[in-house]
Amino acid sequence: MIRNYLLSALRNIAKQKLYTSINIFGLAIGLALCLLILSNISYELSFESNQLNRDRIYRLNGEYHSAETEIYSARVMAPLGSAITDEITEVEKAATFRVSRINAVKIGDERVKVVDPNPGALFIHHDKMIFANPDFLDVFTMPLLHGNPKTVLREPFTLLITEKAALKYFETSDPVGETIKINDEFECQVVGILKDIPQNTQLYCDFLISYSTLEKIGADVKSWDVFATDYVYILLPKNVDPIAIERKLPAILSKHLDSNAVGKYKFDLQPLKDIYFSAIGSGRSGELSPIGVVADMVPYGLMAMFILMQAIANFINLSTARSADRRREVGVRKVFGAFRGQLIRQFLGESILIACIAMLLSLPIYELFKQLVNPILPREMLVEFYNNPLMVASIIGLIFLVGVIAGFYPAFHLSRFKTITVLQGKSDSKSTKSWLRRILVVFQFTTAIIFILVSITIYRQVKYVTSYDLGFNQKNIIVLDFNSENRANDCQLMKSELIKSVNVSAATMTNNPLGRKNRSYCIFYLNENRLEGEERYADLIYADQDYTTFFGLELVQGRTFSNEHPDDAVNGVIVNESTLKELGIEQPIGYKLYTNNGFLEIIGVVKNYYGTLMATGYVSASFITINPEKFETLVLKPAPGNLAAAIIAIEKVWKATLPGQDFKYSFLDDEIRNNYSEYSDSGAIMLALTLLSILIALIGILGLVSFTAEQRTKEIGIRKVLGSSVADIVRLLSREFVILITIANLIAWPIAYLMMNSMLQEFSVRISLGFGTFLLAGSTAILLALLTVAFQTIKAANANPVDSLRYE
Amino acid sequence: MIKLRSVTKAYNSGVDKTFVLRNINLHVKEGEFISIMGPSGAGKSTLLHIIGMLDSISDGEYHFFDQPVHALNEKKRAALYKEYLGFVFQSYHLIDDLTVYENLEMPLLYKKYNSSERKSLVCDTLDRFQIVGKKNLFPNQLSGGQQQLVGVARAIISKPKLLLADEPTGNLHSVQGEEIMQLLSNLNQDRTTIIQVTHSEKNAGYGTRILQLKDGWIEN
Repeated sequence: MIRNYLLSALRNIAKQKLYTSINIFGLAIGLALCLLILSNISYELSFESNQLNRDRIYRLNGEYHSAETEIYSARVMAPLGSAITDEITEVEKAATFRVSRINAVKIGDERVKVVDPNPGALFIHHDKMIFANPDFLDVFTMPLLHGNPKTVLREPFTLLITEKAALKYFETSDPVGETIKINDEFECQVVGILKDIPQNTQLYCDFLISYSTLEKIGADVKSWDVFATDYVYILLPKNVDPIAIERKLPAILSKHLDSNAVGKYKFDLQPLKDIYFSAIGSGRSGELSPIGVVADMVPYGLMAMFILMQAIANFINLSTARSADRRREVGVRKVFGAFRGQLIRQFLGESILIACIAMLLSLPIYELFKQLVNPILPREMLVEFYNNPLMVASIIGLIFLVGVIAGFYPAFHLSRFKTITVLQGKSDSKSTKSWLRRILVVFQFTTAIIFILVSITIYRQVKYVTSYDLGFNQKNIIVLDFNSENRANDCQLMKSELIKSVNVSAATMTNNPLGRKNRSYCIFYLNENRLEGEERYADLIYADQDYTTFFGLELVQGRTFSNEHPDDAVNGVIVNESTLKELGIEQPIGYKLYTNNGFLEIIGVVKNYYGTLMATGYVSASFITINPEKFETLVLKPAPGNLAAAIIAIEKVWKATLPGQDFKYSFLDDEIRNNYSEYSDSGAIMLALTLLSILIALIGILGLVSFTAEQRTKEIGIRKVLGSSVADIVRLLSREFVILITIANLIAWPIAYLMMNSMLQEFSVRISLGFGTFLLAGSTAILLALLTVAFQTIKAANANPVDSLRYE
Repeated sequence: MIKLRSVTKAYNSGVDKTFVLRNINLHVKEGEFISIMGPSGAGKSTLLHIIGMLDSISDGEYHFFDQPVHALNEKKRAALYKEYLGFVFQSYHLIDDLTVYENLEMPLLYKKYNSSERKSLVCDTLDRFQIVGKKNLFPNQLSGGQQQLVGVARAIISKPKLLLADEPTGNLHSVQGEEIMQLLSNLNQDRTTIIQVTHSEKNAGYGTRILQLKDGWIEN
């Protein structure tokens, strides 16, 4: 039976080459996009799946509450981990580790910088080193290629290195016994080789150093009152309730801290499985990266789904349009004993077979998409799915899902035919199915037009913001960030040193150079009474006296900061014109703005500038004030001439002034461009999806029109005999599509308008959504559709009526 | 074998009823070969379809081997005709995508024969109709006469008690037509009951009884 169905299906496919290839091609593209999304979902779900003990591992999260501050952290005090293993018998093992940056390694005389290929992608990876206690390897699954897991990580100044890193730095896969100098600070001996760690874990690192090293290099590993330094992951036996363990922690703490302090700490055990996806918005400091962001993929998932649905619509359309061909077969099979159920199964089987072929074809398309998408992903985000059971299951699931959805209506439609009407050659009323066909065409073009509109908008907006005059100097400006505890001090020190250098022509200190997303804001009131509900918000830039001059902010009223006015540092504020407009202030100089514990007095007004063109939500004003304690960034204008030499000179000063600190710099204009890279990347992806969406809609109507032309051959013949011109016929055949696409436009425009509007809300300056964009998208769709149908209709219209009317 | 008592078939066309068959009374015994004749629109095909259980009756009674067909539901009726009936059509109605062999096998698939039974039945039939050499051809590679030969073979392959033929030679030229009629006549001699619709006196002559229909009434 199945063989019979299969043969019939295969022969049908072979006979209807055009329709089948349209179906298969469209489905394959839709499926490939879905695979891309599924591959990402599988990857995200695979986090920590390599940990054999993952069901029994819990991380100890800490909280600290005092009158002054509240701290939520993924880390706890250093000695807590070993105290837990000593004092709570249920706890099998506790991995205590501290994560640090590795900047440079030195092997022999050769010093190599360690660089993360994706800095800033929330994915500190290749420059991560972990100081881990011996339990670490018992809790976590990290197989060793060389070395004894029971003894490594015990001695100070020993380390484990991954095979990949060994090959990279030692140029051998087994450098056991060799020594390596880390960050120019301390030497370690390689005592084992780690099997390469996959990237789908937050514990990824290339260097695993014994925890005992920490103490020897002077780090504090003993203090109970230094909170949130170390990660503690504990391994519990099966069936032990983590809550019970949590309850025992205050008792341990009270042995080491006075009772007053103990009450300020709280701990909870978080299952390893939950950490990856719950990290975002947890409010905890020290969450390991990367973290799972589900929301990012949702819009792309929806888009892939819509394109797949377009392809399915093609399938349904073409099968129902072609159903006349198969009516007779249905009738005959029924006469010879087929029940309706058997026919439904037969037709569903056919569509599943087509889905299957489409899936096979989609695999190479998926590989192609993957090659295209990978370079713009911030990190590894797609699973190698041929050996991933979830992926294999999804593939099989998708085949059936698509096969059944696509085949459901045609199967029921076809199997419904009454034997007797079919065999007598009468035709059923065709109104219902052509309604369905029209609805599906409208759906396809609505989707395509929305894609076109969103693409155009992204393109125009990105172009608009990248060429927008931000109102300040941004060319050739070097940014140095300070991360140490004394960063404000370091910053001042560096400025005073560098300003002497011939290589630097100007410098200013701030918490936030213009062009970066602002990180500080303040609450203020226009009225001294500070009434609740009247509070206003402003972006707050902490600067020194040179800030406005440095960035070329043009003063329109008042003055800039000056040493002659010591009050400037206390309550002087410079605002821009749009802030005045926003607050409705007409006489700005001397105007007082009331903060929660004092006031700010406007001393100067500058022309408008834009830190970033991304909208910042509630903030409507922007203040520049002086606050040396908040400095963490030094912005430099190198002297005209050799930029490379200037950077070398700056680094030299850095090394001399801040020994041991990592020198890192960036260019401001690069950073500004990167502000929008996410949008230009998504613009590129959108463009590709738009093209695919249009393509699928067009091949769909290509199939439909060639079919209707075929079906209406006789009608066309009669019309021609009765005097219709070729143009009349072409108009007859294409009119319906023009009407349908016009309807699609009317549906798509408001939907697209809402989508584009909400997308543009993310920017503070926006393009206007003119009617022109909509007309452009709409007429593009109609024009493309007409071009697609033109060939078929003209061919049909030119056919000789004698040929088409001969058989009857 | 077949008893029709006061069978009426009518369609609602707007307010009026259009009668296709009126008060048909008919008894068919096993082994008969009946030809239904009459002008176009007399209701010949409708009568055949009713006997073949493809169409329902508006009034009256239809008994097939003592089963009250008029009272059976769709599924039971289908089961009945699956077991006892074979059909031959004027335009053959072979399935284009299946070979001769597969076309013959198709009814057996729906009747739950196992694969070895199917194989031997199909081979016997191919042999008997002398079309072994054509078993791998598709219908469009055969002449009309050959296609109808396959049509008849397909109709009788599961050994029906009653063979219904709707103008079996209508699309064939006379030599092919005669061959098909001879074939039906031979089947009848092997105890298959046959009811055919035909326009041709000559073909009607192969039968044992002629039924004249006019405007839905049986004449004589």
